[in-house]
Amino acid sequence: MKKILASIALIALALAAVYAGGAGEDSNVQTLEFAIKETGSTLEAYEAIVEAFNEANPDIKVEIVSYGKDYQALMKTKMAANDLPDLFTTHGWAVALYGDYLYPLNERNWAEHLLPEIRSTVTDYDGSIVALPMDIDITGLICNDDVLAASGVESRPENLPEFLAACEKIKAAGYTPIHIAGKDSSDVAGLFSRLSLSILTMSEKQNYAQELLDGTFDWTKYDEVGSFVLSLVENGYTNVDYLTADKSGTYRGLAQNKVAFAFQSNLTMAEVKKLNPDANVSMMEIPGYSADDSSFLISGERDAVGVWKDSENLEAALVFIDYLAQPENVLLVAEAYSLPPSMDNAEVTDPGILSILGQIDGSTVTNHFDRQYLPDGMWNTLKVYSTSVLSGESTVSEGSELMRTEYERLKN
Amino acid sequence: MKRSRSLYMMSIPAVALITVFVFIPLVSGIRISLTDWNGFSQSWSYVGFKNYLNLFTDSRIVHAIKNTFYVGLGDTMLQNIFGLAYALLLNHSFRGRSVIRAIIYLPVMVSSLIMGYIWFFIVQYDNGALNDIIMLFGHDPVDWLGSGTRAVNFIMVITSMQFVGQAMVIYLAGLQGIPKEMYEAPMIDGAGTMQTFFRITLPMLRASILTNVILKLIGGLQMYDLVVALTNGGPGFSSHTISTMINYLYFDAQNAGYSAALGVFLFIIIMVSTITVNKIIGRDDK
Repeated sequence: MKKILASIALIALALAAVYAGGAGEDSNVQTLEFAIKETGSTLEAYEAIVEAFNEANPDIKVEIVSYGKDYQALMKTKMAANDLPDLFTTHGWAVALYGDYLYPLNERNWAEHLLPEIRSTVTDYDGSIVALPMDIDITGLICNDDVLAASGVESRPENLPEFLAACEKIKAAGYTPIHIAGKDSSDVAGLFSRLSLSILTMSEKQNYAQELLDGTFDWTKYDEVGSFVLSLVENGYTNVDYLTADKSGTYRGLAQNKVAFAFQSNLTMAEVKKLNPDANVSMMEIPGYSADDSSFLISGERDAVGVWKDSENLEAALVFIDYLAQPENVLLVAEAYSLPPSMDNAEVTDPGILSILGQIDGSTVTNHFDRQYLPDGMWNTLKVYSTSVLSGESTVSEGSELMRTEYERLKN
Repeated sequence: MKRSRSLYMMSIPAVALITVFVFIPLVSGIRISLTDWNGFSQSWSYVGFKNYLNLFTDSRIVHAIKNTFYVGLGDTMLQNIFGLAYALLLNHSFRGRSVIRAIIYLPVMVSSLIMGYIWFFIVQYDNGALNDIIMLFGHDPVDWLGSGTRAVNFIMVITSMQFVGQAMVIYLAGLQGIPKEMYEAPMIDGAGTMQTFFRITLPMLRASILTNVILKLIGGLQMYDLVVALTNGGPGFSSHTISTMINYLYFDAQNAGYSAALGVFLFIIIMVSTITVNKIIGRDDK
């Protein structure tokens, strides 16, 4: 018995010594948890920055935690418990979803270098900059120029009448004009969201932007968006499996030169190039509403990092975010996704990014439809609306009524 | 007295675990179901039984409840019929029996999520293996998952075939527990195979049937991962089950209160189904 007790005491002593030693060694080091959603090349860019920061700042240790696909669900659980990571990426929702939990960054030295195209998207209603954007997300349509050429479409359509004419030619040539990955409700909502901008807010002839902003919009006018999408299906301009295909089908179709257009983000281009490096796919502007309207691009937030306002390591977190805002670091993250950087002091040399910047220069640029005109939480309504209308579960007018009731509920 | 006290002491870990992992979440879920909580906000209001009342007027939820029962009951029936058939066949000695048993049981070890993706690649319209075969014979490809009813049937059949091995193993154990002597007298009296099966084998398998029906019913009613991988609830909302709707309402629609009400409803369905099955099949066990 004595031997057993002595052994237990010895083990306890050893553990205490190890623990004390460990604590003594790290007692002056502040550990920051940095949660990120991004994967692949963007994650690698963040990892390289963090490694360099940890070496340069021995008193602060930043630990990257990548939650991947479950990121948003995990972050919501953490928000419910009011126990967030010291720093985290906001993946397009800095203001709408995370704004109440983020520390205002207006006073940081780098804030004056933020480009106006992105500054407004990370600024809340009180004028606080709630996150450090690393790049500017530029979105339009994804277009396969080889399919256009093979179908006899001489130039990219700039408005919806031209777009429909192009679809007709592409269909007649035996190709699929538009690929919809209906298994993913976000993809369908993205299609409706882009066309909502064309039909409702970007036209000179028909413009309801102000009504949408001040809450006086007559939602029966939203029927036109639903009817337009359904007409694409009825005319045979979409893939047959538009309700059940997933995004891998879009990538494959574009890579194999079978599909002309996809209403998806620029990530699609990277995925297509993985399948076929020679595929002639690129971003094109979203067609305007009528023959008199010009096409446009969407600009928004993609990679942005915020600091949890109740973090116990707030000062250290601010040191890290200042480091992250250095032009070379901003450029590293932006280049990882082939997007323009968010700062005017980050010098771009990448030809792909320079080409996108060239496109922005000559284009009208607007924010995403839901982020600009719909109240927080309506992206999910848009997903329900668009999948229900596309699948025929709701009529176009029932769908518009759903949009109206949810808009009024969430707006108030 | 001392003995019963020590028995109570020994049950403390189990009671503690059940309290932490079952009882507290259940009470917490019921509480959330009475609120309008969005799932992440620090504030919410109590709305009484509004979420429960909405469940039965929301066509998407009613459809998900119908799908859940259809898959749950169909899956239970198919697995038990085929599981018992396999067990009866493989209870006889013949060359290669162990290999066949292993092959039938093998899919059980594959995650349902992986199984869903494998089947998606088989039945998808574009580049799907099934359509490739059909096209070889000169027919047009079919969007197999394009109809909600067909998609739900796919879900039911795929899950049944994946887990039939589990039912087979339970029935095999039951069959091997029936004493051989029980078959001797009827054989001497000239009873046929069907008579022996219905009069001796089936009644003696009552415990196995009860176990299988309850396990499969609960599994079917909780169907989640296969749906996510195969159809993601689509087309539209036509192949959602209660479990996938709970996830959708909580994380996508940001309506945690409504989602919790549906969760409590699922709990009640499973509890009532289990008690009913137990009473019907297990009534002579005492």
